[in-house]
Amino acid sequence: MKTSNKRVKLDWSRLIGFNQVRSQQSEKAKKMLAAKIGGKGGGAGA
Amino acid sequence: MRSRLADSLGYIFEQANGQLEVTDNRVEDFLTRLRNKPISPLAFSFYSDAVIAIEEDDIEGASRILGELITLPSRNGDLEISALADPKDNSVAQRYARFLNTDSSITFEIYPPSKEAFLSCQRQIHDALALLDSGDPELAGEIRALLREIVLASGTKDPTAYTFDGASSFMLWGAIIINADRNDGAIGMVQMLAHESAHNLLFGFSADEALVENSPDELFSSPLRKDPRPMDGIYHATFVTARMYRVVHQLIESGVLDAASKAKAQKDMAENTQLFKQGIETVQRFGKLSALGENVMRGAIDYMAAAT
Repeated sequence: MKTSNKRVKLDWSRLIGFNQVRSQQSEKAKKMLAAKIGGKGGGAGA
Repeated sequence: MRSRLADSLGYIFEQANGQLEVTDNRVEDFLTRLRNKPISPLAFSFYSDAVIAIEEDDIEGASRILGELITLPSRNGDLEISALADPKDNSVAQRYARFLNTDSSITFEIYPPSKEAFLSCQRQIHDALALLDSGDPELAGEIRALLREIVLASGTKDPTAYTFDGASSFMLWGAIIINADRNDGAIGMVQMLAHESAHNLLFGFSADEALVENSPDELFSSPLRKDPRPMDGIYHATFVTARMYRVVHQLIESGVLDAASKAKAQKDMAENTQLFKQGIETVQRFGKLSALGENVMRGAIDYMAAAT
């Protein structure tokens, strides 16, 4: 979660891959960037 | 994508204002290389780790990660086929495994392929690319433009555990991982290549704008996997199914398939038609698509409506 006293502050709207996370939440970013896995025998998976 | 990654890294170093312990001229050299030449798909994964480290105020960790990133060599643009090393003792393999094992609801494990499986799968890929070169050169060119590396791996042998056919990740952009323990020949492999490269295509489309605006916490019943999935996953699966249909249809139309391959192709087309119908119904019913997401999927819908 974002804190105010970080040494380097990043605006995620300027970062490829992170620019779709409106609030700076690492956990949400990880979910949004989750891998697309096709399951065994399951046809097209994601 | 490489240009956007270079922009993002440039911004990070600018914001850091010297706090990241990476030599300025090495950074500039790397960003110039990145803008001008292909690079390992691992570049995106190092970048992702660095952003998360900075977010956690771990500047020392971010410096170390970025130091590794800028030493990645450029690639010549060829599509490489490699075998996953053992994640137990190989840092590159560990990195691939970690960026694929992102779903907390499943345990996802990958291992090095056996030599026999690697060689068999490699042969299927070469056969598939040869088929595409003769029957669908447009897609063959697109695959070679999108992908830098095909990593062959193996899944768990536990029949009760989740394993995989293929995998892709935004933060491994340019790479696809294929389970080498497969034996459905060139027709199966062209669909695998069309499928996984289409994920990479969608990652590229979504670099600046989301395709889907549903929360990743909203899960929907998916006709394409047994477990409920976020809308982004269902959107991807539906789109790639249309691409799988399209490549097989194109190969049949081109006349390059023998009778046995054509029979398998027609069977797979029927299956892909059904999967697309199920997927698009979920997307249209529950999906909150961005304008870009609507446009991209509209192309698939129109194609499938005309072709089926």
